[in-house]
Amino acid sequence: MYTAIISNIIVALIILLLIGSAIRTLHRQSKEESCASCGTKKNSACKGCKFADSCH
Amino acid sequence: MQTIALIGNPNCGKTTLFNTLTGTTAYVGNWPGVTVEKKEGLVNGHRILDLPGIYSLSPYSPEEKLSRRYILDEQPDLIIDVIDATNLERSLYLTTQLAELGRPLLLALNMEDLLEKEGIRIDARRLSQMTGCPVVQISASKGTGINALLEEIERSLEQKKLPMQPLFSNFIERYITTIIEDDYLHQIPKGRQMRWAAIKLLEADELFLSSMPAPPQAFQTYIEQARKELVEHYDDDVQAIIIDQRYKVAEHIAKDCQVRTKKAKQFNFDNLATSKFGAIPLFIAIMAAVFYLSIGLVGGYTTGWLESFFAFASVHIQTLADAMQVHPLLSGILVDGIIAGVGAVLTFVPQLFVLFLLLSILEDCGYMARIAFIMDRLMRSMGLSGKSIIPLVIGTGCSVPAIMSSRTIEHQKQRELTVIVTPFIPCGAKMPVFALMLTYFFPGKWFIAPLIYLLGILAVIITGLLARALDKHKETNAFILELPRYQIPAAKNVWLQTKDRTLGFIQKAGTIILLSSVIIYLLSSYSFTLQAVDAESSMLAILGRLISPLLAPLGFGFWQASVALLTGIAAKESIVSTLSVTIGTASLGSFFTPDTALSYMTFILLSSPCIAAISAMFKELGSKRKLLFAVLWQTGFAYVAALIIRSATLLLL
Repeated sequence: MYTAIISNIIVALIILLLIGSAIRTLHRQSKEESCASCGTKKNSACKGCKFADSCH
Repeated sequence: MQTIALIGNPNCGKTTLFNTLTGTTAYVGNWPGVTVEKKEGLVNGHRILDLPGIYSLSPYSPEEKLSRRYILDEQPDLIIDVIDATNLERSLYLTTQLAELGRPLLLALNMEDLLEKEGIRIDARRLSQMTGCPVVQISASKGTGINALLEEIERSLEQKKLPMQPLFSNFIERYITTIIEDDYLHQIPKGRQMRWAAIKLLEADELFLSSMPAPPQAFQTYIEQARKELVEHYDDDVQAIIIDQRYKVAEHIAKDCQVRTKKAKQFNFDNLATSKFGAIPLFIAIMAAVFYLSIGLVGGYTTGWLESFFAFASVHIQTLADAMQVHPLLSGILVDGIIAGVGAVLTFVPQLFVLFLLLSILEDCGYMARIAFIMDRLMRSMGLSGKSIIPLVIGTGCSVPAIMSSRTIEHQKQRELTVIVTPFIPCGAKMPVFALMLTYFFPGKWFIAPLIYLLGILAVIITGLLARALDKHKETNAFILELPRYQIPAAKNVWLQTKDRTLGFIQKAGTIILLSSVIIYLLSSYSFTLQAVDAESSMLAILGRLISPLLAPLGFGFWQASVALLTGIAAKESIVSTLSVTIGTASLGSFFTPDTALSYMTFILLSSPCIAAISAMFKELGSKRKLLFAVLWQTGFAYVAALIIRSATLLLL
């Protein structure tokens, strides 16, 4: 009984961990590659905006 | 913290030097135009910038504007002019302009390792005397001379010695001197040099004139008179006269500092690689070999091994989960969702690694630039810019940077057209789908893989010709594409590119593919009333059946293929994982036939790209209406092409 509960908790945690880290990585990537990373300070724009000298 | 700017002609090795100095891994390619934005790094506590490659500081192309504006406005503490030592005279033309900007200048004579092979000897001391700049001989790719360069950087930053100004003929110099003496020149923006401003005034440089107040009438009359007299004397326009004078200076310095010890010998592979009739067959043969080695040979072994590995892992994890009484929902998500979906995509890692490796070798040895060269005329004849070839070649890796690189195209219509056609070129993410279909339906027929590229190029040509026919203005522009010399690919460059692309692929498997596999598993296991059902009655099947009738004429009107296409919008690799989760790759033969497999591949190749590329398209097109048109055009084109391919295959088979 306890084995089944612990097994289910472990599998659920593994799945949540995998999903959580995937979402976190995607969020970080989208910030780095989009205008979400553009700041008001000089040279804090994303790659595309740095080139174009204007923020989308 | 002091600032250093790296500047030089395209493909002179600036980015390689930037990477060597900063220890970073910015993308390096053996062709001009790789750097379209400025990159920053740190060297010995100083800020260093890698600027786009330019031939001059004339404000014509975006790269030239960016570099010129940066140097004039930001006033770096030191400019490092990276010179291709085997092309001294041409490189010195830019040096003559940099010398006028009033910033300390250091000449880095790159590619010294090639000098002996080319039969050239350069007197660096004499060059230093004639330009008034410190000169260091280096090889950025081999890493030689870097310590000497670092020492010279420190010395130059400390001494802040300005270079000597190149002098033109006396006839021109007297006008320059008179202009400099006028009070009007004291109004030039901060940081600009008097001599530079005087030359810009004579050239009637629009960018410079727009930064100045209107000149007094008498001074304006003098300038106009000076221009008139120069035109009469040299029988040419003023800009051409100044260019000619600069080249004379560059020629004079190069002649004095350079000795050719023997006539350079060059293996003339270009007679075939760029010939009118031989170039395209050679390209097809090379790409066929690339696909044979990667997908055929390596993929043939590794796909089976990895499939067995993931099947073994799935069976044992499922057995263990059953024994431990894990809830079917949880074990299903883990085994039938995550392991099946991510595993199906990871199965292709070895063959994609080889594919990326071979493409990087082709690029670094200089062959890809030949493809650009042979495509240039074709591109311009169909309304695209010659520069469009750069995004199209970068697009073989990923459409997102390819679409971004279209920013270097000056004309708006050509730029927009390039953005629309770039996703037609098969990117790395679409390769697993093609590899999957080729492995199951066309084993041994590796000639089909390069035909996929040709089909992509054909789609570019047809779209270009249609746009050309509809365009009333028919803009054309010249594109100077310098053919880089063939070289043995630098292991570091090839490794960095291959590693980046392969890791990017693996990272996608662990992010988008993982999430979409979980979602697909849940949607394919439950009904809308959240009851556990078999796949045929699931939410996914119902959703897929809404669009599958539209795809029936193409031969894949079953819901599994439809939902795989939908998940492909998130990432094209998801198509493989979705097919794996919904029908299992081993059962593909029950759903597809060779003609429908070809039709499916065609549709995936040409239909609208993944969401990241669509987002890049939106940024570059700058309008929702244009984006909608682009996506509809791509998908409509894909539909018609897939229909034609299927009909033709049915007739032939």
